[in-house]
Amino acid sequence: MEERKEDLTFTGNWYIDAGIVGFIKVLNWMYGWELEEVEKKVKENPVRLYYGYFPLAYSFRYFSKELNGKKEINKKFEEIKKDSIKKLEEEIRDKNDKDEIYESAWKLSVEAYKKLEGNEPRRLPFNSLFHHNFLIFNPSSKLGKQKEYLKNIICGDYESEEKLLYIGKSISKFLHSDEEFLNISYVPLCTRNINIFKKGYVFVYLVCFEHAFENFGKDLGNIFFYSPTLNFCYEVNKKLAIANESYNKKDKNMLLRIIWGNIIDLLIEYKSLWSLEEMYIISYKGIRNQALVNVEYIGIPKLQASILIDDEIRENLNRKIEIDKEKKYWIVEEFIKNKPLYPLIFSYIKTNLSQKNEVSEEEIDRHMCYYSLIVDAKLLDLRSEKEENEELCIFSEKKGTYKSLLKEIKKDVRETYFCSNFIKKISGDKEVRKSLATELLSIVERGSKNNFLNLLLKRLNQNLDICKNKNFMRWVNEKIVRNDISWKNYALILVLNLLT
Amino acid sequence: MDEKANYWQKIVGNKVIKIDLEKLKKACEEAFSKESDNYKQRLVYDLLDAVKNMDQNRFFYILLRAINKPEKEFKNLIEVLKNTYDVMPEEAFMNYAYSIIIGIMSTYKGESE
Repeated sequence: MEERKEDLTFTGNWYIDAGIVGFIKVLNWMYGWELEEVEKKVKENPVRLYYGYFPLAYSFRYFSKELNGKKEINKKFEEIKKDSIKKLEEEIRDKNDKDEIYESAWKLSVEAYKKLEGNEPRRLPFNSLFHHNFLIFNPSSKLGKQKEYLKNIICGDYESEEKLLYIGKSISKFLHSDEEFLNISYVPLCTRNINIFKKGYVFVYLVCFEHAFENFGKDLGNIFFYSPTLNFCYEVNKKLAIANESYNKKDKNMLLRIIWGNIIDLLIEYKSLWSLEEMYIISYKGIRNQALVNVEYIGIPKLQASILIDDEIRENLNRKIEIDKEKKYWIVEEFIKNKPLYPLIFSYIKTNLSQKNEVSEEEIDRHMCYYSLIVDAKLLDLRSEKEENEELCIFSEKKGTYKSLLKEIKKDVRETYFCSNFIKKISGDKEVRKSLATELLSIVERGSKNNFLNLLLKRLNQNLDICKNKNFMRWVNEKIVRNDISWKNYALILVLNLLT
Repeated sequence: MDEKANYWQKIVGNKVIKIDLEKLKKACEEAFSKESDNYKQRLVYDLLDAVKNMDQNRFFYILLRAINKPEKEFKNLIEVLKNTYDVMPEEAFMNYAYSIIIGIMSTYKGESE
């Protein structure tokens, strides 16, 4: 079979692209190669890479998973690993035939496993819950057969059905034949759907699929970050892997923050606005019956990404919120999912109000509330504007970038901070303020702007000093009276000020 | 100007008269600048009660009684009201009324305390 031209560009199909990232990660783990190095090797000598370096690395990956936890073996493991790598390089340096190269690699893998286990291995510990039907993962396949199966996977000769059977019995999911309940396919095995990606070593990527994901414990599950460019995607996932290693798995809130923090930091570094449009977090909790469980697929829309690029806004949205002691939310995550932030902040304030007798200033995260509510309000305005102006030209500024939106948000936050503060002057007594806040909060909950303004202005009418304050009155007028779209957000800010 | 609040538009013949809420508020500020705070406080209370019940009749009755004065400050407000008065749906009336009320409240001088 002639040498296939291969390159590591993404295909646009996240599943296969995840496999490509997994493949690079496996090589990186074993040999310490970065992306450029791997790409170079793919161009220069793919046979050596796929038939030599890859099998050894893949085997060792599973050795390490099996030995995970047995700490005494760690040092020994590292030595054996180094030794095997050295031997491999020596042996395949001059070889060019794929069979010979594969022989060396396989032989070294078996030797290494023998040294680790201490006795003759029956089979190498390849194991995958997801691709369970691939023959190589079958627990009953012995050493000799495994060697053949792995080679078939690398070879990936997917034209003929006979050969496909040597890779796995579920290349295409099939159903039992309904006549005799025999376990035979009634559609021919085919790889038509994979063929279109024009990847020479597609099965290699498929078996590396699970290695792309980082496991963040049972609460967060397995997470993979995806974006259509290989470079960016790989860099982010690398950072995620580093974050995973260095942080205490018990503090899962820290982890969540790290994940989002890392992704967004890299965004800033790259400063490539076009990649903002397509970024996804793919996560799954576990694998059951060869299917991913609880898959979440979070896309980051361009609007949200443009807002998050700003440091100030990002800092204040990157917070955790706790409602009812059971439900925890991450503001950035909800924001990225394009969910409204108002309900969250409302529940947050309501919970804080009802729980404690005295709400001290430190306990309510004011900055987060302000930024969340105002960003939310601006998005509401934008959406309603879009609905009104259906004929908006595609090339108009509003649809292009959102730079002016950022400026508006920050200006609004500054103004609101300054102006809404004055409501505190309504009374020096904390109890009075709190009871007013409670009343106003229940009105906001019911959504009645008339009642809200009525109660507010009646109380203000008793206190002429506040009314004299032109800024405050102007703010109330602009943000609540003259605003039927997002008045609730600003009303909530007033309530917040009364509480703290 | 982008108006985010519900507002009313009158159509007279072929002309559309849009109610500019900002203009309305400013006219109120001008009109009530010279009245006493106590008087304005009571007035605002009555107006707020009327809006609470969405009683357009009562609202305008109280308002008109208050501006029925020959002083020149009221001229502009009377003019604006003349052009924009209409029986409005509730959402528009609410914003109309509160613009007026806030206009009056903005003129407090705070000497009475």
